[in-house]
Amino acid sequence: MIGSDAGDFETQWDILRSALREIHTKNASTLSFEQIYRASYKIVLKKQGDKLYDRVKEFEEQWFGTSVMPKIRTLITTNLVNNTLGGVSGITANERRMTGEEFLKGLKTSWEDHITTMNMTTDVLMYMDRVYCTDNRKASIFTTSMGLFRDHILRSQLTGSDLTTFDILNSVILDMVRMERDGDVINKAIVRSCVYMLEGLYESDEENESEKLYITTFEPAFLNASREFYQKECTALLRDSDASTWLRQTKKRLIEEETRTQTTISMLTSQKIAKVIESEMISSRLSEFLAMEGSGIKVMIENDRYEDLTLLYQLISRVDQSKEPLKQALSERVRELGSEINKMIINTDFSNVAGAAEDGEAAEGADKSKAPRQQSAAAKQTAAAIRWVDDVLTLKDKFDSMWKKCMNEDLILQTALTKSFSDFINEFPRCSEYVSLFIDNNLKGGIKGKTEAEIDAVLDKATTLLRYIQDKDMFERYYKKHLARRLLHGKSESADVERQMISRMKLEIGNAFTTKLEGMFKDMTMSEDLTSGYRTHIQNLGDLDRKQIDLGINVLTTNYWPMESMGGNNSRRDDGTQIPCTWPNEIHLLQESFKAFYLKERNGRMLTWLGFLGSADMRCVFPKIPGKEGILSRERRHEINVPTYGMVVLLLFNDLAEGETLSFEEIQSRTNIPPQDLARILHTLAVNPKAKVLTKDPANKDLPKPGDKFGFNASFTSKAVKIKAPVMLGAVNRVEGEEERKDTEDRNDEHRGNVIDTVIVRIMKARKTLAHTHLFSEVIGQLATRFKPDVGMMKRRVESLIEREYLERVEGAEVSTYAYLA
Amino acid sequence: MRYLQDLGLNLESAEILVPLEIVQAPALAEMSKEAFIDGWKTVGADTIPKQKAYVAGQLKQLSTDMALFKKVYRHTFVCSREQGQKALPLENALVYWEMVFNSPGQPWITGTPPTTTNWTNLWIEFLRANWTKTVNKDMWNQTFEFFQKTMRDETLSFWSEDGAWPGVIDEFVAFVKEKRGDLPDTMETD
Repeated sequence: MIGSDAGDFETQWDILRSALREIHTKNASTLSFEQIYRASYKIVLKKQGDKLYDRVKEFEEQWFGTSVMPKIRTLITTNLVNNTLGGVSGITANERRMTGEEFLKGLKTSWEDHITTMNMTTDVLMYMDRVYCTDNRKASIFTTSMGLFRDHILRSQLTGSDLTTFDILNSVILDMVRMERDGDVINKAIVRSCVYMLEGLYESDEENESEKLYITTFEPAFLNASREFYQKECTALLRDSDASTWLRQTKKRLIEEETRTQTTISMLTSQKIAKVIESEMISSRLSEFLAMEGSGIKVMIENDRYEDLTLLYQLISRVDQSKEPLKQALSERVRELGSEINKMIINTDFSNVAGAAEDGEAAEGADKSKAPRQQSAAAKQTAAAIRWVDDVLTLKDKFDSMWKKCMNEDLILQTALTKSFSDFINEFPRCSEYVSLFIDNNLKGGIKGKTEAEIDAVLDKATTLLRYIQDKDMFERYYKKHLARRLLHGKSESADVERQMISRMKLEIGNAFTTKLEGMFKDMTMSEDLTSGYRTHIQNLGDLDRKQIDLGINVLTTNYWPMESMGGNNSRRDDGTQIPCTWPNEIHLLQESFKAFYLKERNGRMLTWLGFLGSADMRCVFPKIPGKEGILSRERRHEINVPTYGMVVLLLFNDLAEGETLSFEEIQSRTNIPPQDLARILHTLAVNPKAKVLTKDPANKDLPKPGDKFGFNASFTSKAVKIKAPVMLGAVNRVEGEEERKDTEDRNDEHRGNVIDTVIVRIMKARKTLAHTHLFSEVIGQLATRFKPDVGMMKRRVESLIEREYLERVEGAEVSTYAYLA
Repeated sequence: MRYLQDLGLNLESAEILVPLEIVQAPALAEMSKEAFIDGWKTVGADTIPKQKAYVAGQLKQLSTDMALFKKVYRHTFVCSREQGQKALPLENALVYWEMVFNSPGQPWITGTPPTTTNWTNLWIEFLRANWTKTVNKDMWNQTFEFFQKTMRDETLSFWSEDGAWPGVIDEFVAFVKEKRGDLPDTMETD
């Protein structure tokens, strides 16, 4: 039986073998499929599939060895071998490319032939595959043959060397890639074909995706070579080129490599090669490129190099989701530029003003033209303040635009930028004041002639700045002060725009503050009504006294108005009440009359007349001076608008005989005007040429003081019939001097202390006991929208509360803890 | 006071602070009958000889028993105040600090000779130069907490600005640190 089986097997095998030969030599058309199929069928049926399998394998091996490899070996020139070994090539690049191509073509051909023959072979040996292979868990003959190709072609060693075909293959492809990267044209198609081959072969018969020869053998070599290549390229760029070029080159390479994976090698490598470029061209020397003189990030920002910045943003985003390097560079730049803006203002502050201008600070015996010069120095400071705001806004615009156009409105960057702006703005101690002055400036006339959209834009800017300011309570303080002055001196350009600003502030800061502001507006409206109401009332009383003084009244509700900033400090007692000046009789009568009218329908209110505010229109008659010609030879009538105190002073002079004078002391005692205020008003009336209706002895430009004598200036002339006496210092909104500012801060600190107390008590009352760190962080949290409480201040308040027995320390607690004392 | 003499104590020294605490005397020369009775009852000393012996025993323990020392220290503030006053004038407080932080109390000294730090002296020096107000209870008590902490760690590593120390302690720490920076660790020894 065995004998006939064996003989039978050999018979069948002979048939198969010759068939295989025909197939392999491309003569398959002469074969009968049925006959061959039956041969294999018979073998497998007789349970000799294993022998068949082995014989086929043997056949393939031999085929490779005798027919395929020799052809390939002829294509492997010495130069190719040298190249693979890394030696110096003895031929030109072009020749190298051509021999490489020939090799690849040869390899491709043998591969394709192999596929074709194995397809046919599989067909005829199908029964073996289906039955024998399946039963015995052997790989199909097709698969097995792939392994044989791998082992006997690709991994076949060259004579006299350790190199395999595979090594040559890798080296040739990599060489071509290098040439292409250097700008040469290569035959992409042939490389692709060989890559397909590698994608179709596996490390083992299991044919795991991750074990494709492409991935295990080619790809690592490719990535390594690429890494080296890009490392060198990056170093060269750093050495020889600039940041802009680097950006463009990197982008170009990224696109190039992506294309390469689509056309030449495999898409499997797409992400990995991108990572190589990201690592070698972007990450590794990023900070050096950013720091480049003349082209680095500082220059990009300074010169608005949007294209560069856009590229930079895109590239950095690839390697760092948080864009850390870009974030830091931007933040730093904002802070630097911001600090410069701050510094410039601080220099303006201190350099210009010789002996800082203060309200009412009379320099004793200082240089003559001190008083008027104080005004212009202050005006300069105010202009500088407005410039600070403009500079900050310009800086913001610049970075906003950059952020929108180049950085895709990235949220992380926005946060960083906002923080940097906030940092340097709040570093500047006068920021609250300056922002308020900026708004003040606009509301006083800066918006004249602007369209609604433009006005909106200005308000937007102001609101943005407001958002940055940490000490919102300081801002409120200044805003109230400036608003009060605008309202009382009629300087506001548009009530409507004022209201718009307030509603924006409401959104940013909340109601509590804006309620007071609205109160101020209400007072103004009410005052208008009172004025016309009173006028009507007087008319209705009949008997129009020719001498009746026309009264314009402003009634201010104390709580709404920033009384401490309105100029009445000299006349305020410690308890907050006003020291009244001594009113001229006719004024006193007028006041009583109005008071009666006012209180008729409002019980329980107290009216206090504020002499330091308001003004009076006075008709003055100046006599003709005998012996003089020109204007002085005629009587002159003028209407002069003077501050209220001015009116009180001038009326004294009605009772004087010709040539008689009043001393400073006399005027002071008869009017009871505070000496500092009196000095200033006398300066307006007796020194400043514009409304010099009084004479001063001594007749110098010094600030009036005790000892001086004043008289009626009969020789006064003016080109204008209607004259406005120059406004006293303190009525114009301008930058505070050092002392004033200290006052404002002190008052603000006091207020903060009270606020902190309230918050602490409220928190402790709710929590009963609370650890120190928790208490402080809660306080800070609750006050965040108003101001940033200073740790020292908070501690002092706590100590004070302990002393006043609102709180106590908890004994024996693990961490410092307080308890609320009911 | 005669009573204190009867207990065999030196009226000029810190010794009297111990019995004053036991009877919770509201002032140096004042005692309430109730508190007196309660106080001695609690420690089981109802005759003068017993009280004398008890006090003597307590005095010995003062230098080692931190809880006892703290009790006596705290009460020192309570009874050393003037009538109707809530706080101690600085000069008085300095005297009392000098008194309690010495035998029979615990000296406020750290380190080993020759490099010791006499904290009492530092504290007094600092306050003399920088403190113009009175000393309130919280300041007095917190000084003890600070004393305890420094006795365990003279490097002040336990201190942080974010701690709940009163401002005066924060400033004292700055004062000490500055002093240490300039001079070697040898401070005035006792």
